[in-house]
Amino acid sequence: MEVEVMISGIGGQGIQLVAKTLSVAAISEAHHVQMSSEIGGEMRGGLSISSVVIGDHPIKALPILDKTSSALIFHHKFSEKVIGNLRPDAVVMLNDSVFEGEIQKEDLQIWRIAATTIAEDMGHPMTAGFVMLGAFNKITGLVSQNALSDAMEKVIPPYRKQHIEANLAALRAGEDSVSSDYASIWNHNSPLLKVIG
Amino acid sequence: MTLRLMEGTEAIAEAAILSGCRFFTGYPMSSFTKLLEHFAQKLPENNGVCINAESEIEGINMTIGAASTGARAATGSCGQGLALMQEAIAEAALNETPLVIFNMARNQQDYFQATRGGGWGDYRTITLAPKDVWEAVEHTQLLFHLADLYRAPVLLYGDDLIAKTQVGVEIEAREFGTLPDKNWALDGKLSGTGKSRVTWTFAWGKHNTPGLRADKHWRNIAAKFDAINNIEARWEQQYTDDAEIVVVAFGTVAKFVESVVEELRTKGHAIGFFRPITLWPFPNDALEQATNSVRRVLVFELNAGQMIDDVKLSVADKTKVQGIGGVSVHDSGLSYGDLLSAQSILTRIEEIITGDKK
Repeated sequence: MEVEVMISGIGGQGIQLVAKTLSVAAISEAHHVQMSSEIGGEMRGGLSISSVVIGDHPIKALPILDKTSSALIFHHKFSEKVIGNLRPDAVVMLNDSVFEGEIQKEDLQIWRIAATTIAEDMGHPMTAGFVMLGAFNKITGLVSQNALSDAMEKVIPPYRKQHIEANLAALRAGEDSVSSDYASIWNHNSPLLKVIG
Repeated sequence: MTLRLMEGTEAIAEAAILSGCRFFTGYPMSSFTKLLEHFAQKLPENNGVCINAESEIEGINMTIGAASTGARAATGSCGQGLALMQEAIAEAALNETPLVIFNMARNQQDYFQATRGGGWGDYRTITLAPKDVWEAVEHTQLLFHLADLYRAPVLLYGDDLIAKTQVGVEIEAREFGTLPDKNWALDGKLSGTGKSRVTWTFAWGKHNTPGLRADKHWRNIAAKFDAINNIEARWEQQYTDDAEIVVVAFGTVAKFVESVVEELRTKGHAIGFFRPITLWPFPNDALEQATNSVRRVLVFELNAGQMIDDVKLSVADKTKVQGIGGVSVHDSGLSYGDLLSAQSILTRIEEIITGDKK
C-alpha cells in the first residue's frame, strides 16, 4: 500500500511544516516515507507544494508525482497542478476560509474546513495548517493522534517552541471540526481505501 | 530496521562519514550547498574537519592534500563548480590520489564533463549515477572503496532531486572487500630518514627514492584505467529479453523512464529498459547484448544529447539509436524543467510506437 498526499498553497501558510510533520509522524510509526517539495523563490506568497508518500513497503513513487490519492489545498493559488493530479475518488481537504472558486472535478471525496477561521477564533491564525492536518488525519487515519502531536513538537525549530501549545490546540480543533470517527487506514476503514483499492 | 527521515544531502553526508570520510570541503552553490552544511554539522562531531573553501579550486586542492595523507576525503559542487576543478581532478588521477567528488548537479548537462573530463593527460573518472537517495547512500560508500582500491578520484553524479528529496532511510555500513595498505601515504612516518615519500604527477621521485618517471608512470596509469574499464561497469536492465524497443536513461531521470516502461509493459508493448549505473566505465558490452535484436534504441536524457554518443558506441547498428530527450531546465537554471515527468516521457515513447505502426 502506498498513499500520496499532495499539499499546496502559498508560501507562509505552513505547507512545508505540515508536510514534514506528517512525514516525521509516519516514520515514527515505522512506515516508509518520501517527501519532496517545490518552492517558489519568494519569501512569502510564492508557490509552495509538498508531496508526501507513505507506504508499508519501500516507496516506489517518483519524487515528482503526477497522480495523488489525496490533497490538502490551502489556497486557490497554485492548486491547479494538485487538482489536475487527483486520482478518481481522491480525498481532498479544502481550506474553505481562503479557497475561492470550485474544483471542476466530480469524482472526489471533498471535505471543506474553515481552517483559517477556526485558527483565528483561537487567537492563532498562523496555526490554520495544523487545523487542516488534524482534520485530514482524523478522516484518513494515516498516523495516530499521538504520533502527529509528537512529530509537530519535533519539527518545530527551537526559536518557535512557544507556539507548540497553540499548534497542539489547532490539531485538536481540526479533529473536532470533522464529525466522523477517527479512521485508520492500516485498519482498513479510511476513505483513502476507495482511491487506492 | 529503523528508518530516519533525511534529505538526500544529509543521507549522503552520513554515508560518507560512516565510510570513514573525515575531511570535506566545498564552496556553497545550489544544489550542493546543503551537502556542505550537513558535513559542516556532522564532521566535527566525528573527529573530522569540514572547511568552507574560498573557491572550488581551493576546495579540491585542499581535498587532495588531505587525501595525500591517507585520510578519506571528499569535496563537491554542482557542474558549474566542477568545471573549475578539472585541472585538479586530472592531477589527482595522474598522481594517484584517491578522493570522492559529489556533483549535486542541477540537471543532466554534465555528462560529458563527468565522463570525458576537462583536465589534461590520459585519465578517466569512475562515475556512479544513482537513481534515488537510497542508491546514493550505497554509491557513496562504494565510491570511497573504489577510490582507495584504484587510487583515483571518483565521482557521484547526483542531482537536485536527490539532494532535496526527503526519505525514510537507514544508513547501514556495507562491506566491499579488503583494500591494499596505503603505503604511499604522506603520513610523516619517514620524515628525517632521507626516504620520505612524494606524490607527483610526473613521478620523478626524490634523490634517494627515484620514481618511475613520466613515461612508465603514465603507461601504468593508462593500463590501470583500461583494467577498470573491463571490471567496474555496472548497469540495470529490465524486460530486454523480448523487447523490440529499449529505452536508455541514467540517474534520477532513469527512475522516471523505468516507471513509464513498466506502464507500457502492462499495456502489452514489447519494451525494455537499460540504465548505466556507472557512466564511466560505460557498460558497452551489456548494452550491445541487450540491444542486439531490438528494433529501436531510444535515449532519454535531459540535455542536448551527450550519453547518446556512448550508446552509439555500444549498439552495433547505430541507425537504431534515437534521442527522445532534450534540454529542459527550470527557468532559474537551478533544477530540471517540465520534460521531467512520467507523462512527458510516456508521450514521447508512444509517439515513436505509433509512428512505427504507420
